[in-house]
Amino acid sequence: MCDQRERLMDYLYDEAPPAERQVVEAHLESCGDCRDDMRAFRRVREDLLAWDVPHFESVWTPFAPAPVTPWYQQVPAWALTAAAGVMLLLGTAGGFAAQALMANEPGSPVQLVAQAESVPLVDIPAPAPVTPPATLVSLDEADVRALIQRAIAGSGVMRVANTTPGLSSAVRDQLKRETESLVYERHKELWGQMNQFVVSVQHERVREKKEYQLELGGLKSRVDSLESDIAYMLKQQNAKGQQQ
Amino acid sequence: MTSDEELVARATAGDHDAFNQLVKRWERPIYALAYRTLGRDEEARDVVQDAFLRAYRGLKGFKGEAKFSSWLYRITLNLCRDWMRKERRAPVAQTPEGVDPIDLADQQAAPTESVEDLVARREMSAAVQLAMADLPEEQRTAIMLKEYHGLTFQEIADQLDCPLSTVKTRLYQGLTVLRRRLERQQAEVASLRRATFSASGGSR
Repeated sequence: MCDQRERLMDYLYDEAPPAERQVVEAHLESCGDCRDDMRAFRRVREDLLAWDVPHFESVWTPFAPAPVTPWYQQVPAWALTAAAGVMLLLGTAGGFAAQALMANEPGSPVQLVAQAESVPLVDIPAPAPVTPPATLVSLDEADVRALIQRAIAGSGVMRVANTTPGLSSAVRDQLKRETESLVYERHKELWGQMNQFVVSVQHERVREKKEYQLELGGLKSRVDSLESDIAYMLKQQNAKGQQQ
Repeated sequence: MTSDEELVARATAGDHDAFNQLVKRWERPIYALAYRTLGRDEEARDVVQDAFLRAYRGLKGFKGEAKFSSWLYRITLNLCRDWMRKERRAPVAQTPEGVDPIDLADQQAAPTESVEDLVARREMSAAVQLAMADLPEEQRTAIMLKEYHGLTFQEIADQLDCPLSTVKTRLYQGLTVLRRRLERQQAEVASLRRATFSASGGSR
């Protein structure tokens, strides 16, 4: 029998380089068995094409498009909770401080009014003597926010109160409203974010649980299969032992 | 068209849509491989789903040393082997139950194909399926990867963890066995037809 199996396979499946092909073709000219094999293999390859597979409908449930992950979902829940707590405390402190800051003077709209004497503050160290400004200073929303930010950033509101020479009641009201509204908005926003965070964590856990269950199922069946293999081998071994 | 490598990179970075595209591109070939390995429709569908789930979970570990499709074929073949081992079953040749192949062929004949041709094709399909089911697993897998999935000898060797020469030997042996079986089956069918023809008085 001719030992040209590998070369015939290279030739049949077109994986032989040109020089090799020529060698095989020359061999086929002279070897009837290999020629017969080659013809038969080509027929088999044609027959193999007849093997249909059933119509296939996709079994895959496409993943939902990845949501853009907001920054707060990347922050651990405890950190969000702590941040919300700190914000609430600071906001509340800001509110109290703003209330304490305000003098009972009428004025309009948002203005810092020069005053001859400093405003007495509750629980605040005695303010440093300051020279009151001679003119009215306008205070817009950005200034109010900046004031609050300064208060929040430093140890804060009290220091602002200390260094602010005097505020009219209009400024006080405005500051109070702004502070409350800021705290409320921030609070609401944080609660919303925390809720979303909690929901997304729950979804993630459900998904993970499903995946683990699937994996566990696979492992269990693998263990079953191994156990039955072992049982079968032991049985065979016992049978052999008894024969001996 | 976006390459597999590009989609894999995107999917690894968390782009779910890229993975959906990979599934869409490869689920049919994977199903065909599973179906031809197991011979069972339902189980083949389960294998397709498991194969893509495993691929998804293993994306981060896929280093791209092999083609994505080769990696997927390997996962699929392993799942098929697990299933056969678990069920202690050889692949079966599955034919629809309670359906007359001629009726079925009548419904399914393409406009350009006569019912006789379709019946002949279906008979051949069943014959091939039976002959393949009788082959040893290594030979059957090598033939499937070569004939239906167009892998090179080297890719098959990588899939089956064996030397290149072993792949060629398995193909040669498998084709030789198939040749004998198919020739015998065709001879039997021809003789049956002759007998039917004589019994009907040669009227057809």
